[in-house]
Amino acid sequence: MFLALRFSLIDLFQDRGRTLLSVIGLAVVVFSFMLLAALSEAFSSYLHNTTLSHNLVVVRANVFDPAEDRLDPQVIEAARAFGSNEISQVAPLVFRHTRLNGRMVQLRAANMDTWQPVFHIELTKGEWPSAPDEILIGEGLAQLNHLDLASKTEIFGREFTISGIFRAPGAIFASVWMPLETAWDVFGTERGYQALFIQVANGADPLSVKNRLENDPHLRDEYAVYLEDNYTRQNLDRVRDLSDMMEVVSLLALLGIVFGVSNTVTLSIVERSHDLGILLGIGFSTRSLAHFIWVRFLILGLLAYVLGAAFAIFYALSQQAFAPFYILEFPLVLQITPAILLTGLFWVVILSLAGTWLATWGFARQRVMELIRAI
Amino acid sequence: MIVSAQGLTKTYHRGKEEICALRNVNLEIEAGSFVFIVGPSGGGKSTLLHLLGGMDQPTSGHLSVDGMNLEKASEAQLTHFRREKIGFVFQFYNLLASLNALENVSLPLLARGKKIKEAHTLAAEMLNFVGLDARKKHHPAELSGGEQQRVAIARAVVGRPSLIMADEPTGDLDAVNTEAVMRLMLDLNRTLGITFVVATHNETLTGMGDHIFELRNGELKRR
Repeated sequence: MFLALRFSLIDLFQDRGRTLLSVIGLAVVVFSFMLLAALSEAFSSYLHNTTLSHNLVVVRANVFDPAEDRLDPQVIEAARAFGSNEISQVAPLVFRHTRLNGRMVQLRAANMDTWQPVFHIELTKGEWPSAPDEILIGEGLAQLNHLDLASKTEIFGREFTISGIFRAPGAIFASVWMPLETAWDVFGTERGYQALFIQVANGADPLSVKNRLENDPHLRDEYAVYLEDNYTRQNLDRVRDLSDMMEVVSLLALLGIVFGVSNTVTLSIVERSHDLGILLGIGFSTRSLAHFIWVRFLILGLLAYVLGAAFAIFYALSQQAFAPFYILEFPLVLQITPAILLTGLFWVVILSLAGTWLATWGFARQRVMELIRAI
Repeated sequence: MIVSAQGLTKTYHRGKEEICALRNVNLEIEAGSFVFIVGPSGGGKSTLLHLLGGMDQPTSGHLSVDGMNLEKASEAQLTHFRREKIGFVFQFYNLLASLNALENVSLPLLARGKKIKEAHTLAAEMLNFVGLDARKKHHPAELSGGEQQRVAIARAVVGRPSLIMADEPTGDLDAVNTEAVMRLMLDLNRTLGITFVVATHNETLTGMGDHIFELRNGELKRR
């Protein structure tokens, strides 16, 4: 083992230009694997942290943008007429689009009593709005726009102060929230509400409540009733697909190590056929030379691993610091975790050996003289 | 007899063409002798040496070297045979460019499982014997042709094999170095009792040997 290691190091050093190129080539594969694995884990974390509600949402059918609509008050009354065994809370919502630091965001306003029970808004920093110029923003939005508590921002020509930062499921996460009274003050009451959120009572079947609402005379044909998490569910399905795809692609990236090493080993063996023939002639066995070749490429694989992992960690940290990724304003944190590092190391070792085995398989069947004659 | 061959034939296939490199060769060599095999290029000298050295196997016939039947030996047995019994000297030295003289000479000992330190000590003694003590840390590219061949001879001898095969050992050397290399091999033959089989097309050298065989078109004759 020591002899193979010594010969390998001498050989790698003598051929240092090629060694460097081989290490860089394999390091790119390791780097790709680690980033894809980190991205896959970030998606998994997103899936894990996304909670789903059983709320129903009522908006006018065939309206392109609900923000441009006005909900008929009879619709709200129709929902309130349902028994508490079917609907526990009814929350009409003022809904607008606005710009925050140049980005288009959703602005929502509802009775503050419904913020927690219906919309599952959790305050992570600061206080609930208590003054007419105070608002809440989602933590993804705060991070994306570099806003914090007491930051000032202008909405529809009026200056507001951020009194709190919240966390909530689905697209709500990306929105600005203000009390209903503030919304009436900013927008007036003429356009009323744009959507109706209905909290289905515990034990009631959301689909059957949805069915009954759709067939209510005040809503039938005019209004559409959705499960609030319908969009989120679809979005999660897409993210789940993407996450699965990332895992497959990261494994394919690792397979690149097998072929990369195999090609490099084959080239090395062809180039060193003459030397290998001499060593066989001197009395080294095919097995001991294959051992030497394995050690040589294990060293290459490990060097590539260290370089690839170092670059992946550096990239993940830089990306996090300077250009973080978001899905629906949810920050995707790229982290090269110890599990990724260990998985990468395990596969680099196994696949380097597999690639070397592929290449040495043919070498072991050549005769000594064929190798010596090769120059 | 250290070498005993009867009816040795070796044929190669180049595409559909069959090439007969050795035809029904009979050969016997006494242990400790210095034997020359002469003949023109392409006559089969190298093929015969490769068969005697266990680097290739005959197509037919019987071949025994130092008590081992080579025509039936497995690859593992041939490897063991080359490691323990044979030393090889090539025309173009065939030293490993990445290793220095000392490391090149150590190789046969390392193949036998000796520790690096012990192998280096024995290799240094052998380099001293061939007059290259001062050049042991030099790589092949830093040595002259004559020096490289002396390193190659030291490498062939360091494991104290029974038989050394030298294939055109002076073919790439000038007259002075040819003389020096031949004297060195004869010296080793006389002092260590190692059998030498030297293939050459240089007839002027053959006067130094005990026996001379001529190989022409794959057929061997004793002179």
